[in-house]
Amino acid sequence: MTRGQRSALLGALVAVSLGGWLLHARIHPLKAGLVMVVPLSAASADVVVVTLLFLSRGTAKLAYLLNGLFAIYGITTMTHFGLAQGANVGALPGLATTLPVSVVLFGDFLVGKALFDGYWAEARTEVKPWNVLAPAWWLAHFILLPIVYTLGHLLWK
Amino acid sequence: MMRYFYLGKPGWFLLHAAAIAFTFWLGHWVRFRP
Repeated sequence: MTRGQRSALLGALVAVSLGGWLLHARIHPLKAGLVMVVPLSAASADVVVVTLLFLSRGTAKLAYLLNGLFAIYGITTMTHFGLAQGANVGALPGLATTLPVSVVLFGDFLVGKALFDGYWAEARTEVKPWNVLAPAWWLAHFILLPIVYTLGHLLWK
Repeated sequence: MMRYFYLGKPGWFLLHAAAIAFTFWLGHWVRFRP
């Protein structure tokens, strides 16, 4: 990967995560309680910490892991928020829910993947698909983490 | 075989126990008013 490509991807990562931060700042008024402070602080960490960690090859592993976990937790909690609000109007089903922002957050995850692959492309042939940070590992965590979250919500009142 | 992170078995179990406990608690804690 050239320096120009890496810079463009880093710029895209900042743009998408900063856009998410601004959306959070608009949607969740801080005075609504502690539960509304969490999205804004998580998005702030996503913008600052993850971007800094993506600057070098050694820390890019951790950046990719954190970026992906932020995306999974974010999509899970935003879907929960959308379901709790019960909003479902618009031109297509789901447009007025949190689906649009969840799709953007998935894009943020994929930008992180492109950055990570740029640093670690030559090592990838040695990694098994189910090893940490490999595709099957991400798929399993995209499925299992929301299940644990939902169980906690439903079973522990 | 190459792994990006290597914790060993005890580290793996501890990390997953902590992560599952945190996620379960998060689901319990997050309550949105409709």
